[in-house]
Amino acid sequence: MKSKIVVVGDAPLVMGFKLAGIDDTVQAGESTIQAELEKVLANKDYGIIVTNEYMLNRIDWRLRKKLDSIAYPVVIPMPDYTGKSTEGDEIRNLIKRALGFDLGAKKQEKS
Amino acid sequence: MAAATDVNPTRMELIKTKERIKLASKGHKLLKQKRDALILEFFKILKKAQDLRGQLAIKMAGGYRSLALAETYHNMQELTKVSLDLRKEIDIDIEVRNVMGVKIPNITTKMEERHFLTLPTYSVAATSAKIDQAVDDFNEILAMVIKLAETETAMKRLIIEIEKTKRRVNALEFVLIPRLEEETKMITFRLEEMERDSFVSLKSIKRKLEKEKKDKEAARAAAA
Repeated sequence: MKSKIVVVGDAPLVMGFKLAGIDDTVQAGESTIQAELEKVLANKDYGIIVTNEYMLNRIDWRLRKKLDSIAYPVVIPMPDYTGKSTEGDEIRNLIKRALGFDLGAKKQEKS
Repeated sequence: MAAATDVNPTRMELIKTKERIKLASKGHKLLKQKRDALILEFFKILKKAQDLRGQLAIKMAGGYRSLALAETYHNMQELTKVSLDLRKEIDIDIEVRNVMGVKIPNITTKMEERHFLTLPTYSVAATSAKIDQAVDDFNEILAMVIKLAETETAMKRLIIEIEKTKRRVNALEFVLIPRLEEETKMITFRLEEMERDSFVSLKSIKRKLEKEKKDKEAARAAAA
Protein backbone atom coordinates (compact mmCIF):
# COMPACT_ATOMS: atom_id res chain seq x y z
CA MET A 1 0.00 0.00 0.00
CA LYS A 2 1.57 3.27 -1.10
CA SER A 3 1.04 6.04 1.35
CA LYS A 4 2.19 9.47 2.42
CA ILE A 5 3.26 11.28 5.54
CA VAL A 6 1.05 14.02 6.89
CA VAL A 7 1.90 16.48 9.63
CA VAL A 8 -0.87 17.77 11.86
CA GLY A 9 0.31 20.15 14.51
CA ASP A 10 1.29 23.60 15.64
CA ALA A 11 3.15 26.14 13.53
CA PRO A 12 6.77 25.17 14.40
CA LEU A 13 6.11 21.50 13.80
CA VAL A 14 4.44 22.14 10.49
CA MET A 15 7.16 24.56 9.37
CA GLY A 16 9.91 22.19 10.39
CA PHE A 17 8.52 19.28 8.46
CA LYS A 18 7.85 21.52 5.49
CA LEU A 19 11.57 22.24 5.48
CA ALA A 20 12.18 18.50 5.56
CA GLY A 21 10.22 18.23 2.35
CA ILE A 22 6.84 17.06 3.57
CA ASP A 23 4.13 18.46 1.37
CA ASP A 24 1.01 17.47 3.25
CA THR A 25 0.69 19.57 6.34
CA VAL A 26 -2.24 20.70 8.38
CA GLN A 27 -1.81 23.45 10.89
CA ALA A 28 -3.99 22.99 13.92
CA GLY A 29 -4.46 24.45 17.34
CA GLU A 30 -5.55 22.71 20.48
CA SER A 31 -9.18 23.45 19.70
CA THR A 32 -9.11 22.24 16.11
CA ILE A 33 -6.81 19.23 16.48
CA GLN A 34 -9.66 16.80 17.00
CA ALA A 35 -11.52 17.73 13.84
CA GLU A 36 -8.33 17.88 11.79
CA LEU A 37 -7.16 14.48 12.97
CA GLU A 38 -10.51 12.95 12.11
CA LYS A 39 -10.33 14.48 8.67
CA VAL A 40 -6.84 13.10 8.14
CA LEU A 41 -7.84 9.68 9.42
CA ALA A 42 -10.64 9.49 6.90
CA ASN A 43 -8.14 9.92 4.07
CA LYS A 44 -6.64 6.53 3.38
CA ASP A 45 -3.70 7.99 1.47
CA TYR A 46 -1.93 8.90 4.64
CA GLY A 47 0.12 6.19 6.26
CA ILE A 48 2.02 8.11 8.90
CA ILE A 49 0.52 10.95 10.89
CA VAL A 50 2.98 13.14 12.74
CA THR A 51 1.47 15.26 15.45
CA ASN A 52 2.26 17.15 18.64
CA GLU A 53 2.29 15.09 21.77
CA TYR A 54 0.76 17.74 23.98
CA MET A 55 -2.12 18.12 21.55
CA LEU A 56 -2.69 14.41 21.39
CA ASN A 57 -3.21 14.42 25.12
CA ARG A 58 -6.03 16.92 24.73
CA ILE A 59 -8.21 15.03 22.29
CA ASP A 60 -11.26 13.01 23.14
CA TRP A 61 -10.44 9.69 24.77
CA ARG A 62 -12.52 7.84 22.19
CA LEU A 63 -10.41 9.16 19.34
CA ARG A 64 -7.29 8.51 21.39
CA LYS A 65 -8.30 4.92 21.91
CA LYS A 66 -8.99 4.54 18.22
CA LEU A 67 -5.58 5.94 17.37
CA ASP A 68 -3.98 3.53 19.80
CA SER A 69 -5.74 0.49 18.45
CA ILE A 70 -5.48 0.84 14.69
CA ALA A 71 -2.47 -0.45 12.76
CA TYR A 72 -2.95 1.87 9.82
CA PRO A 73 -2.24 4.75 9.76
CA VAL A 74 0.58 5.01 12.25
CA VAL A 75 0.41 8.02 14.55
CA ILE A 76 3.67 9.45 15.80
CA PRO A 77 3.47 11.99 18.62
CA MET A 78 6.38 14.42 18.64
CA PRO A 79 7.92 15.88 21.77
CA ASP A 80 7.72 19.65 22.15
CA TYR A 81 10.61 22.07 22.24
CA THR A 82 11.52 21.25 25.82
CA GLY A 83 12.54 17.82 24.60
CA LYS A 84 10.41 16.13 27.20
CA SER A 85 8.33 13.21 26.13
CA THR A 86 5.86 11.13 28.05
CA GLU A 87 5.46 8.70 25.19
CA GLY A 88 8.77 6.96 25.80
CA ASP A 89 8.07 6.69 29.51
CA GLU A 90 4.68 5.26 28.76
CA ILE A 91 6.11 2.48 26.67
CA ARG A 92 8.81 1.78 29.20
CA ASN A 93 6.19 1.52 31.94
CA LEU A 94 4.18 -0.86 29.82
CA ILE A 95 7.24 -3.03 29.28
CA LYS A 96 8.01 -2.97 32.96
CA ARG A 97 4.51 -4.06 33.80
CA ALA A 98 4.30 -6.77 31.17
CA LEU A 99 7.75 -8.28 31.26
CA GLY A 100 8.78 -7.43 34.75
CA PHE A 101 11.97 -5.56 34.13
CA ASP A 102 12.89 -1.95 33.56
CA LEU A 103 14.36 -1.43 30.15
CA GLY A 104 15.76 2.01 30.92
CA ALA A 105 17.64 0.73 33.92
CA LYS A 106 19.11 -2.10 31.89
CA LYS A 107 20.39 0.27 29.28
CA GLN A 108 22.11 2.44 31.78
CA GLU A 109 23.92 -0.55 33.18
CA LYS A 110 25.23 -1.41 29.76
CA SER A 111 26.64 1.98 28.94
CA MET B 1 -13.13 -21.02 47.84
CA ALA B 2 -16.84 -20.53 47.75
CA ALA B 3 -17.43 -22.18 44.42
CA ALA B 4 -15.80 -25.42 45.48
CA THR B 5 -18.22 -26.00 48.30
CA ASP B 6 -21.53 -25.40 46.59
CA VAL B 7 -21.19 -27.80 43.69
CA ASN B 8 -23.52 -30.71 43.26
CA PRO B 9 -21.68 -33.85 44.35
CA THR B 10 -22.91 -35.95 41.47
CA ARG B 11 -21.07 -38.13 39.02
CA MET B 12 -22.33 -36.00 36.14
CA GLU B 13 -20.86 -32.90 37.70
CA LEU B 14 -17.57 -34.72 38.22
CA ILE B 15 -17.35 -35.67 34.56
CA LYS B 16 -18.20 -32.12 33.54
CA THR B 17 -15.57 -30.60 35.80
CA LYS B 18 -12.94 -33.00 34.54
CA GLU B 19 -13.80 -31.98 30.99
CA ARG B 20 -13.43 -28.35 31.95
CA ILE B 21 -10.01 -28.97 33.45
CA LYS B 22 -8.91 -30.64 30.28
CA LEU B 23 -10.14 -27.71 28.20
CA ALA B 24 -8.59 -25.15 30.54
CA SER B 25 -5.18 -26.80 30.47
CA LYS B 26 -5.32 -27.00 26.71
CA GLY B 27 -6.13 -23.29 26.56
CA HIS B 28 -3.43 -22.57 29.07
CA LYS B 29 -0.84 -24.34 26.97
CA LEU B 30 -1.89 -22.49 23.84
CA LEU B 31 -1.88 -19.12 25.54
CA LYS B 32 1.54 -19.79 26.93
CA GLN B 33 2.81 -20.50 23.45
CA LYS B 34 1.17 -17.32 22.20
CA ARG B 35 2.82 -15.33 24.94
CA ASP B 36 6.23 -16.76 24.14
CA ALA B 37 5.81 -16.06 20.45
CA LEU B 38 4.76 -12.48 21.17
CA ILE B 39 7.70 -11.90 23.45
CA LEU B 40 10.05 -13.27 20.83
CA GLU B 41 8.61 -10.89 18.26
CA PHE B 42 8.81 -8.05 20.72
CA PHE B 43 12.50 -8.53 21.37
CA LYS B 44 13.17 -8.66 17.66
CA ILE B 45 11.64 -5.21 17.29
CA LEU B 46 13.21 -3.95 20.48
CA LYS B 47 16.65 -4.59 19.02
CA LYS B 48 15.78 -2.34 16.10
CA ALA B 49 14.21 0.36 18.21
CA GLN B 50 16.96 0.89 20.76
CA ASP B 51 16.55 4.28 22.32
CA LEU B 52 14.98 6.05 19.38
CA ARG B 53 12.51 7.98 21.51
CA GLY B 54 15.17 9.55 23.66
CA GLN B 55 17.29 10.44 20.67
CA LEU B 56 14.30 11.95 18.93
CA ALA B 57 13.47 14.13 21.93
CA ILE B 58 17.01 15.51 21.96
CA LYS B 59 17.07 16.00 18.21
CA MET B 60 13.66 17.62 18.30
CA ALA B 61 14.78 20.16 20.88
CA GLY B 62 17.72 21.03 18.62
CA GLY B 63 15.44 21.19 15.61
CA TYR B 64 13.07 23.59 17.27
CA ARG B 65 15.95 25.81 18.28
CA SER B 66 17.44 25.99 14.80
CA LEU B 67 13.99 26.55 13.37
CA ALA B 68 13.36 29.41 15.77
CA LEU B 69 16.71 30.91 14.79
CA ALA B 70 15.90 30.59 11.12
CA GLU B 71 12.57 32.26 11.76
CA THR B 72 14.21 35.20 13.43
CA TYR B 73 16.68 35.71 10.59
CA HIS B 74 14.13 35.25 7.85
CA ASN B 75 10.43 35.86 7.89
CA MET B 76 7.74 33.25 7.57
CA GLN B 77 7.12 33.95 3.91
CA GLU B 78 10.72 33.29 3.04
CA LEU B 79 10.77 30.02 4.95
CA THR B 80 7.58 28.91 3.25
CA LYS B 81 9.09 29.78 -0.10
CA VAL B 82 12.17 27.73 0.65
CA SER B 83 10.05 24.84 1.82
CA LEU B 84 8.18 24.84 -1.47
CA ASP B 85 11.46 24.18 -3.24
CA LEU B 86 12.31 21.38 -0.89
CA ARG B 87 9.40 19.09 -1.62
CA LYS B 88 10.41 15.54 -2.10
CA GLU B 89 8.80 12.28 -2.88
CA ILE B 90 8.79 9.81 -0.08
CA ASP B 91 7.63 6.34 -0.91
CA ILE B 92 6.15 4.67 2.08
CA ASP B 93 4.91 1.15 1.85
CA ILE B 94 2.81 0.08 4.78
CA GLU B 95 1.71 -3.47 5.13
CA VAL B 96 -0.25 -4.71 8.06
CA ARG B 97 1.30 -7.86 9.44
CA ASN B 98 -0.54 -10.20 11.72
CA VAL B 99 1.47 -11.61 14.59
CA MET B 100 -0.63 -13.96 16.71
CA GLY B 101 -3.69 -11.83 16.17
CA VAL B 102 -1.92 -8.56 16.77
CA LYS B 103 -1.96 -6.32 13.77
CA ILE B 104 1.31 -4.45 13.44
CA PRO B 105 2.37 -2.19 10.63
CA ASN B 106 5.34 -3.14 8.51
CA ILE B 107 6.84 -0.08 6.91
CA THR B 108 9.36 0.10 4.12
CA THR B 109 10.44 3.47 2.83
CA LYS B 110 12.27 4.68 -0.17
CA MET B 111 13.49 8.22 0.22
CA GLU B 112 15.72 9.92 -2.27
CA GLU B 113 18.62 11.23 -0.31
CA ARG B 114 19.32 14.73 -1.45
CA HIS B 115 21.75 16.80 0.47
CA PHE B 116 21.13 20.48 0.18
CA LEU B 117 24.81 21.28 -0.36
CA THR B 118 25.38 18.83 -3.18
CA LEU B 119 22.13 19.60 -4.87
CA PRO B 120 20.74 22.89 -3.68
CA THR B 121 17.09 23.13 -4.48
CA TYR B 122 16.74 26.62 -3.15
CA SER B 123 18.75 29.77 -3.57
CA VAL B 124 21.89 29.56 -1.49
CA ALA B 125 22.64 33.22 -2.00
CA ALA B 126 19.31 34.49 -0.74
CA THR B 127 19.24 32.40 2.38
CA SER B 128 21.47 32.07 5.37
CA ALA B 129 23.09 29.13 7.08
CA LYS B 130 20.33 29.23 9.69
CA ILE B 131 17.91 27.82 7.18
CA ASP B 132 20.42 25.20 6.10
CA GLN B 133 20.77 24.15 9.72
CA ALA B 134 17.04 23.89 10.24
CA VAL B 135 16.60 21.94 7.02
CA ASP B 136 19.36 19.58 7.99
CA ASP B 137 17.96 19.05 11.46
CA PHE B 138 14.48 18.36 10.26
CA ASN B 139 15.71 15.99 7.58
CA GLU B 140 17.33 13.97 10.32
CA ILE B 141 14.18 14.17 12.40
CA LEU B 142 12.14 12.95 9.47
CA ALA B 143 14.38 9.93 9.05
CA MET B 144 14.02 9.21 12.74
CA VAL B 145 10.26 9.59 12.63
CA ILE B 146 10.03 7.03 9.86
CA LYS B 147 12.21 4.62 11.80
CA LEU B 148 10.15 5.30 14.89
CA ALA B 149 6.93 4.62 12.99
CA GLU B 150 8.28 1.20 12.11
CA THR B 151 9.05 0.21 15.64
CA GLU B 152 7.07 2.18 18.16
CA THR B 153 3.53 1.27 17.20
CA ALA B 154 4.44 -2.36 16.80
CA MET B 155 6.16 -2.38 20.16
CA LYS B 156 3.28 -0.71 21.90
CA ARG B 157 0.72 -3.02 20.42
CA LEU B 158 2.77 -6.10 21.15
CA ILE B 159 3.45 -5.17 24.72
CA ILE B 160 -0.23 -4.55 25.41
CA GLU B 161 -1.09 -7.91 23.92
CA ILE B 162 1.68 -9.59 25.90
CA GLU B 163 0.28 -8.18 29.08
CA LYS B 164 -3.22 -9.35 28.26
CA THR B 165 -2.03 -12.83 27.35
CA LYS B 166 0.10 -13.04 30.43
CA ARG B 167 -2.81 -12.13 32.62
CA ARG B 168 -4.92 -14.80 30.98
CA VAL B 169 -2.20 -17.40 31.39
CA ASN B 170 -1.85 -16.56 35.04
CA ALA B 171 -5.59 -16.53 35.62
CA LEU B 172 -5.88 -19.99 34.17
CA GLU B 173 -2.85 -21.33 35.93
CA PHE B 174 -3.42 -19.90 39.37
CA VAL B 175 -7.17 -19.41 39.63
CA LEU B 176 -9.33 -21.42 37.29
CA ILE B 177 -7.44 -24.71 37.13
CA PRO B 178 -6.80 -24.94 40.89
CA ARG B 179 -10.44 -24.17 41.55
CA LEU B 180 -11.64 -26.85 39.18
CA GLU B 181 -9.24 -29.32 40.71
CA GLU B 182 -10.57 -28.44 44.12
CA GLU B 183 -14.05 -29.08 42.82
CA THR B 184 -13.22 -32.53 41.49
CA LYS B 185 -11.54 -33.40 44.75
CA MET B 186 -14.58 -32.22 46.63
CA ILE B 187 -16.94 -34.23 44.45
CA THR B 188 -14.93 -37.45 44.59
CA PHE B 189 -14.66 -37.06 48.32
CA ARG B 190 -18.40 -36.59 48.70
CA LEU B 191 -19.14 -39.50 46.40
CA GLU B 192 -16.87 -41.81 48.35
CA GLU B 193 -18.38 -40.64 51.55
CA MET B 194 -21.86 -41.34 50.26
CA GLU B 195 -20.78 -44.78 49.12
CA ARG B 196 -19.37 -45.64 52.53
CA ASP B 197 -22.50 -44.27 54.10
CA SER B 198 -24.81 -46.43 52.08
CA PHE B 199 -22.53 -49.41 52.58
CA VAL B 200 -22.74 -49.05 56.31
CA SER B 201 -26.49 -48.58 56.34
CA LEU B 202 -26.95 -51.61 54.11
CA LYS B 203 -24.82 -53.63 56.47
CA SER B 204 -26.83 -52.57 59.48
CA ILE B 205 -30.12 -53.27 57.71
CA LYS B 206 -28.85 -56.70 56.80
CA ARG B 207 -27.79 -57.30 60.37
CA LYS B 208 -31.21 -56.21 61.61
CA LEU B 209 -32.99 -58.44 59.12
CA GLU B 210 -30.86 -61.41 60.12
CA LYS B 211 -31.50 -60.77 63.77
CA GLU B 212 -35.25 -60.60 63.14
CA LYS B 213 -35.08 -63.85 61.20
CA LYS B 214 -33.15 -65.52 64.01
CA ASP B 215 -35.62 -64.23 66.60
CA LYS B 216 -38.54 -65.53 64.57
CA GLU B 217 -36.87 -68.93 64.19
CA ALA B 218 -36.12 -69.03 67.89
CA ALA B 219 -39.75 -68.14 68.66
CA ARG B 220 -40.99 -70.86 66.29
CA ALA B 221 -38.62 -73.40 67.89
CA ALA B 222 -39.85 -72.40 71.31
CA ALA B 223 -43.48 -72.78 70.20
CA ALA B 224 -42.90 -76.22 68.73
